[in-house]
Amino acid sequence: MDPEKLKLVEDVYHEAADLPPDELPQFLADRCGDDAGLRGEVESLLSFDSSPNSFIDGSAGSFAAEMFAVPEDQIDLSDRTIGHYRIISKIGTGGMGVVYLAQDTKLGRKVAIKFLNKEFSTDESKLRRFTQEAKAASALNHPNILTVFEIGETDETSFIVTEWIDGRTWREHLNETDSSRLKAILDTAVQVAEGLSAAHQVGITHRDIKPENIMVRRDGYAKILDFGLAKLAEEPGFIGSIGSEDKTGTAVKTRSGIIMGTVSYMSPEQARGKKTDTRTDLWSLGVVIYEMLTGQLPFRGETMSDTVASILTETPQPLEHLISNAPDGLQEILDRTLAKRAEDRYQSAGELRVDLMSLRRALERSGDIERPTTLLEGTSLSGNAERRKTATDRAFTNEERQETLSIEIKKIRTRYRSVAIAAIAIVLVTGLGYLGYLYFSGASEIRSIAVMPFANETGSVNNDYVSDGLSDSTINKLSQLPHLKVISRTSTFRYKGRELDVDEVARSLGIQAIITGQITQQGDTLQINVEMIRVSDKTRLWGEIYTRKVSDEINVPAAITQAVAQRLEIKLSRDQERQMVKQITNNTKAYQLHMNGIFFRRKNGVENIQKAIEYQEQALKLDPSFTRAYIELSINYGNLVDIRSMSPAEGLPKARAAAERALALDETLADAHYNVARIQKYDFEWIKAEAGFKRSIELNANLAAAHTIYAEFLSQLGRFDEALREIKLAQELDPLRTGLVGNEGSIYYLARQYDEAVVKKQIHVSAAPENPFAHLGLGKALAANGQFAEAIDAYRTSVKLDETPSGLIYLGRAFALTGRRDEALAILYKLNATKEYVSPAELAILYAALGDNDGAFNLLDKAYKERDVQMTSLKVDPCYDSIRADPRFAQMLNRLNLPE
Amino acid sequence: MENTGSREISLLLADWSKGDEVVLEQLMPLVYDELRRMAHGYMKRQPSGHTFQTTELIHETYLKLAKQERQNWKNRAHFFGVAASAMRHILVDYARSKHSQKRGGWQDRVTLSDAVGSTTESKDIVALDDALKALAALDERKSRVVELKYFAGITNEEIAEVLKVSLDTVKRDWRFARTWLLRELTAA
Repeated sequence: MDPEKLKLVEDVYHEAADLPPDELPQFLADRCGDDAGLRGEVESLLSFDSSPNSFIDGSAGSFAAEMFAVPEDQIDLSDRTIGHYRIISKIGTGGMGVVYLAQDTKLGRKVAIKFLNKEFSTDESKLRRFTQEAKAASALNHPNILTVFEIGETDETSFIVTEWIDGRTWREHLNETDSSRLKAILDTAVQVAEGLSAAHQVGITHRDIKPENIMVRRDGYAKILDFGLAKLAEEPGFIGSIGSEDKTGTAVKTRSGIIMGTVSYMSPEQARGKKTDTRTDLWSLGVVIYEMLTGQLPFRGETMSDTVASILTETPQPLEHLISNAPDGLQEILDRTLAKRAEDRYQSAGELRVDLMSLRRALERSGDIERPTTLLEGTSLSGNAERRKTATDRAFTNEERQETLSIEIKKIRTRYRSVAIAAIAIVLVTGLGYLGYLYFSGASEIRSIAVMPFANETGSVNNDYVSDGLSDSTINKLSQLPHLKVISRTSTFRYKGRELDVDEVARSLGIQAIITGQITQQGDTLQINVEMIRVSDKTRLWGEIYTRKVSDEINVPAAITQAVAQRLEIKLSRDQERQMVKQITNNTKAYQLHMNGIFFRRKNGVENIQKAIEYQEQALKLDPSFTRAYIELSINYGNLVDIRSMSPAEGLPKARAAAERALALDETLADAHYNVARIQKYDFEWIKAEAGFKRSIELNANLAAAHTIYAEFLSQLGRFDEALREIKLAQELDPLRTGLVGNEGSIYYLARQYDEAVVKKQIHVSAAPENPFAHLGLGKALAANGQFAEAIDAYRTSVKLDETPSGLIYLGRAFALTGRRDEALAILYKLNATKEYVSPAELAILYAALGDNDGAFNLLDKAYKERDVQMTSLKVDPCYDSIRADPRFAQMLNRLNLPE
Repeated sequence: MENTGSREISLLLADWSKGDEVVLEQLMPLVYDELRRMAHGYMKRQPSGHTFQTTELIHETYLKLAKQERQNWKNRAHFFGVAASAMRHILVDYARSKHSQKRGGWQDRVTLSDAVGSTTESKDIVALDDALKALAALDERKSRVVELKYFAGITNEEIAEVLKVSLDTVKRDWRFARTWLLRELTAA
């Protein structure tokens, strides 16, 4: 076609276009005559005239929008407010999102918020798994794992709120450390191994360990970032298979081409896209340590494929080729960490940590650790200069940097000394009045305290029971002080044998002051040195040295408590004072048996509980008025019934009798009250029980166990908000007792918030991987959440650890509900044949799942008559949902005497 | 750097508006760059999901340049004429590079972001550009009408002003060009 022809076509087209259809053929015939080409052209064009809207009817705007769409990592959210977070500034951009510093306006603290790139926040199931994992890792409450406060979403994306680390990445940190590079590396590596070890125990693998994911705080604490995140990205389609040759470059690209991370730290199995486990993290940590030491990556290549090839086949250059003074032990550690086959590597982060620590200790002893390791000629730290620049805004002075953990304690001590000297000087000038002011100011506002495990510095491990016993008793005594929160033993004993960073302890335990103690021995004399330190300014509020003959230290905790009460200006009633000086027992032998019993009770497990009962009974033979031994008896029998290894008919009367005996001996014993209340609940005496819980808490608000059992009580009545409040109180008192998170999980489970329940139960499993009931609880939450395959795994683990009837029942239920009826029936036969106590109310759950409602109700009837403790959950337990509508169920609930 | 570029643009535009068609060749790449730069700033200020208005962008770019230039530009239309071509180049370049990437295979899962409500794909833009070239060979003005309408997003009245033709002519041109293009695009 030519322009003239087009002109003609156009003219005819315009004339034809507005004609009524019936006139068109005639018009075209007239107008085009013999020119079939013209006619065809016009007709063909006319057929498009009334085409529906096409993209050209719009404008290029939508396409332009896509083109100019600002990459998410370039959007700046500064000054915006999201929820109760006010964004302050952008602090980093990573492969998966952008990180901002923000102010939590509700809690008045600085936080870091990572906004996930869209592609990572669109897949809900993946996001949920990530959320579970990130929360689980964070909730380990491990000092070397970044704490996640919240995972939320806006209309556009998901975000993660974490604690804000005032520090730098490991790489930056190292570049700022001019002296003793080796020590700095080992310090951080040990901590990372520790954090990984904790996560690995829960079955959480990081999968993206690299220097950028490890932050080092000003005080030397290392924190692992972004647990769970790698999982979001690892699905096929995100990180493509690396083998294909068209993808070059050293970075891994996601499907939108965003650089996600480098392959340099990937383990061989990861690089090959094989199945990975926790050992992949050890490899990656090995690569990081190597890089930190030598300034270069152990495996390198010009392209990504070359790097992968190097990872799969090459042996890294020995350290001695790259740095001077490379310690021998370190090469061995790296060789084991960077073994190509996972089986040849360290099998756990714990093992690696132990070796790193031994090496550090050996170097410290020989003084080699302070010797600078210098890079040999021809090697250089890649990109140092540039990175240093980026770190300047957060840099701090050398002096500060060298304050490592081990120095922290010394610093505090020195501080006391200088305070004392200053005080003397002031006395000379202004007289006693001023000293009084200095000394007494502010102590009365201290309302939360932690007694750290007393240090046994007698030189004999055999004296551990003395130091432990003293700190233990001090906690017990202090707990009885009114208006003072005293952290439970389980949490403070986590710090046993560890160097204390007061701020870290305060943050983890949420307290204002700590009490520390050291015990030294000279001949048959013990010297017990106790101090109370205020966290905010590290001031020593009080201190005392008690000198006692061995085995005569039993009254020291009472003395400490009275002194502390006075110092904190806590007024004691006469009853309380009496309680304070009251000796637990006058019989030393009974005391030892009692302590042994406690030891075994704390170990859990049927056999240990039975041993504990024996010890307490022996103690009671020696001192029949030993109230605490009765309470222990009650707790132990209650526990046996709780874990269904003793029938309620047998266990409950014993538990009740023991607690009531204790109460008869001393009405002011908080422990006795909640233990009686616990049994009253099993007898369906709900109102009496609640009064008992309240009385117990009124007498002593510091008993985590009272709050825990009361929380369970409340949740069984469907009072979930109150239950959660109580369990939170227990957690505040015992923040590091991760087992409590299992109780919290049960509350969420009964409240039917299954996502939360799963998270909490996973944490519980992590804290107690050997506890079959932890796995059982996880299984129940998973099953309720519809994750049956995972639930069955959890039940199987539980049954493998201990084949309890409960474990079998829930496993059978899961089989029944997933169409595996034969397997469910096999379990039922097994349960019917067992000689162990089987809770009829739990067995009813299996019958209900198999569709035998009559059988289920017969069992519930039996359960009621036997005072089966499972019955207390009947009102809310989701496992009974399938028979809930049956009128017999309502009748059953009626018999439970539930309060309005 | 940005200032130098802007000043140059304004001077060239002034010359061009006086009738010096040769400056167009120099002008185009500069407007191209300026538009691109403006576009990123423009998008950063928009909430996600906002539809891109090419007219707004071009207008903003114009205002920015006009403000810098003391003498008032009498003919804003001139700028739109240049900007429409620049915009077309920008989008077509992008579409072509994307299109070839897609054929390269590894990003075959790329789809246009739903968030910006896009329904136009890069292949459409590439095809339109090809068809417009063919149309220009037969009727330059019609291709300009489409360019102004589609890539600059301006009204028929404004197009009439830019091309110095009547409004009816613009409507007529558009109607025919649209039909013609639709047929070309369908055949392609």
